[in-house]
Formats: sequence, C-alpha cells, structure tokens
Amino acid sequence: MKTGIILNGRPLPGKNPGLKADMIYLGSEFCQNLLPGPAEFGRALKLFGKPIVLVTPFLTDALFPDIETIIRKHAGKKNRLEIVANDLGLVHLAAKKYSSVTSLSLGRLLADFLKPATDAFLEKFFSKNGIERVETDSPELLHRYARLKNLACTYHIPYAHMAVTRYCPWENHWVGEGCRHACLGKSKKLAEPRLRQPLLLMNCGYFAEDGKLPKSGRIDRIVYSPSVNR
Amino acid sequence: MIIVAGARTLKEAEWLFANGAGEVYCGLPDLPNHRRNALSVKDEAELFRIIDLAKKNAGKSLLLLNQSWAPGDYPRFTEKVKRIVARGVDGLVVKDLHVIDYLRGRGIKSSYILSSLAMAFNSHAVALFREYGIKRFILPYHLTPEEALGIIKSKPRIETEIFYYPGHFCQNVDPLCKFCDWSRDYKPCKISLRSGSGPFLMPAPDLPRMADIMYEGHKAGVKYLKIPRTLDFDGLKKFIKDAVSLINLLDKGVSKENFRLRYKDVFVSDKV
Repeated sequence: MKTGIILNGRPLPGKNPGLKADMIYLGSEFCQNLLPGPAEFGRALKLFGKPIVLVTPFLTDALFPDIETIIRKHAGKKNRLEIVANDLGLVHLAAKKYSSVTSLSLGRLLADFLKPATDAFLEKFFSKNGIERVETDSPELLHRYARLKNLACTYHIPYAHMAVTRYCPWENHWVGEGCRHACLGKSKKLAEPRLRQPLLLMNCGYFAEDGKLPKSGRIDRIVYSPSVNR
Repeated sequence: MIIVAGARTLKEAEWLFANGAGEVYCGLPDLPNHRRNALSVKDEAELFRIIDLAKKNAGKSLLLLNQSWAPGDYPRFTEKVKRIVARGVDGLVVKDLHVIDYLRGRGIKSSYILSSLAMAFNSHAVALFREYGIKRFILPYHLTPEEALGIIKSKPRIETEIFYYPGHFCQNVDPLCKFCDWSRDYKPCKISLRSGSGPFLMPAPDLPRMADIMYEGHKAGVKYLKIPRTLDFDGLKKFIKDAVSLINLLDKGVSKENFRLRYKDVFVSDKV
C-alpha cells in the first residue's frame, strides 16, 4: 500500500518538512488558486525528493498555459507525470497532446460526475483518454469504480467531499477575481444542531469527516489530507 | 439576446411567445430534468402542443434531458426522446457525455445543447463536447463570462447562453453539491452555520455581481438568455418583463454602473 499527503501548491515550505508519505499530492482538487506554477513544481521535485502528483480542480482557460509548461518541463516517456484531473478539458487535452508523458487519475469531483455512466462507456472513455486511476473518498464512490477492471483506486482520508464552490467563501468573490490566499493555514468547522456532524470548510471545498477506511482489496493507495489548508 | 424561457403549460408557452421569448424549454416528469415534477409539462400530449405552437410562432422548443439516467432506463427513455424528436422538438438540453453518446449512437439527430450542469469550464472541455455534436453551450453558473471569453469567441463559433436568475444563485457547483439532495427540511447551503469566528452563511454572488454576469455576457456576445421555470405564472411574467427591459438597456449601450442600478429593482422569487 502506498501513501500520499496533500499539500497545496502555494506557497511551498522553505525546507523539506520530512513528510512520512511515499508521494506528495501537490495542488488542489477544489481551488485553482492553489495550483503550483511551473517554478513551484520544479522546486517541489527538488525539495521533497519524492514523486509528485499534480492535483488539479475545474480549470478555466487561464490555467492551461502553466499546466502545459509543467508537463513539458517535467514529464517524459520514461517518467510520466501523474495528474489528478477533475476537468474534462484537461482530460481531453492530455489525451490529444500528452498521452505518452502523462498518466491520469480521475479526481473526486469528476469521478462523482461520471459515476452514473455505464461501465461500458467508462471503460471505453478511460482507455481512450489514458485514465488509469480513480480518486475516491467514500465507500459509495469506491465501490462504484471498483466494478471496473484495470483501474487503480486511491482512497482519501479522513475527509469526504460534500460540495465545491467557485465563489470563494474566504474572500467573497469569484476565484478568478484575484486571490489573497486568505485560506492558507486555515479551515473552518461549521456546526448546526440539525447537522449530524460538523462540516469542514477547507479552501473552496466543504467536507465531512469519516476517517474509516473501507474494506476493499482494490485500494492500493491512501492519501491523507491535513485538517487545515497547507 | 434571444430569450429562452421555461414553460410548464401551453398557456405559459403562448404568453411567452407573445411577450418576447424566442424559445421555450420544457421537462417531462418521466424524463429526469433536474427539477421537481411540478416544474415539468404534465405529459407528452401537452408537450406536442407546445412544439406545434413554437413552429406556428417561428420560435423553437427544447426538451430538457439534463439529469443522469440509470443504465436500465436508457432504452425506454431513448424511445420517448425519439418520438419527441420525430414530432419536431428543435433541441435537446443534455448534461452527460454518456447520454449524448448513447442518443447519437441510436441515430437521434437533433440540435444538442450542453447544459450548464455539464462541468465544462474551458475551451478544451467545449472542444471535447463538440466532438460529441454539441452546438450550443450554456455557461455553468460558476463560470463568469469574463472567464469564458475564449469559449464565447471561439472559432468556429459556438452559440452560448447564460442564465437570468436574480432570485437565486447556487452557493456551490451544481450538480456536484451533495446538499442539493439533502433529504431533510433544510439545506446546509441555505441556513446559518456556527463557526469559531461567528455565524457563517455559504456565500453566493450578490445582485451587483449577478448583474455583471448579464452585462459582461451581453458585451461578449452571448446570444441566449435563459429564464428559469417557476411555480408561479405571475412570477414568470415579471421575470420576462424585467429581462426584456434589461436587454433593451444593454442593446442601447447602458453603462455597467447604470445597469447595476436598474438590476437592483428586478423581481426576485423563491418559487423556482
């Protein structure tokens, strides 16, 4: 079983914090302003000395130049760059232009969006678009995708996503309107007597805590999310 | 801008075509369409009357298929869609790649319109959907016209559409928000929650920002303005009256500041 830890892409720590994980999931599935730029990605490779998985959310056109630069600079046929993709546009672009140098994992949001499709459609779509892995964080999502052969499964703990927004809950504007990174180092626990358990707001995602790992022989990677945005 | 308005009955559709709408869109209760059944046309016979009415008025009718289908339902839903397309509906509003793929694979030729629920936020995503036959793209709520400029002005051009929705704006990205299907009598996205620093309401754009979406969309060249279905016919009439007035202002070149001021007075409804 391999392990990973999520870190957002901006800013990187000044020195190697000695994280005990086999790989670093760098970026965010929930906010485009937490992606590493090309320089940060290059620094991260040297800083952590571990494989880096580029983690991406929904993307507007403005984000693609940096992502393509990261791919061109740091991905190769012998050293394919693994990308967690939540954006259909990135899936499409990677398949058309970068299929020999990237390996895609279906992010949690896109996994949720595509889960109603038939197995036959998904198998064809994944094969055509180089999707080899799926990220999950709930037993429901895991069991849905575990039906597909030849698809590796990651499980994220301890938080399961409930919602994502592009209207920043920390700064009250669209995420594309300039970001002061007010969410860094923070999260908010949101409670209400009628909620069975509190929600956690971390960058642009709302989460419920469920630390249990489902029993499944299909999970070959566990990714840990810190309780604050770091 | 062409007004595309939701209709639940022939009477609503008649009023809409007579008062500024160029297209009407409808759901059927037995074809999933992302809203409660009360917002759908009651049956196929009524839908067919609306299709005929649209043609008589040199307008268009669209069928909503913007909710996922369970695999077991594909054959019977497809037969229904085939019938409606044969009857003359002008377009199908779809969300899922796999549904579009299935319908086209079964020879259903229509104008496929990509729903705002389709998770397409950039030109590459639209390019993917174009390969599946999409001819029109409805901007997701959570994508501003400024961010979508590359799509709106793409070559070859794709028709684009934005929502007019002053009374309501989803706090989170639909259809991925699990609070939407919350089976209790409240939704966490709509109530005040307690955080360590005081009360917290999941934020959504305010009226000036909603005004900006319409203003910037018009400026960029978005062709269609989508008016939501509502449980309240009088409310629908007010939506349309306001939309027509706002479009007229935009066509005359109103400033952004003055447009925001006018937008402050629009009718707001919770019966959508």
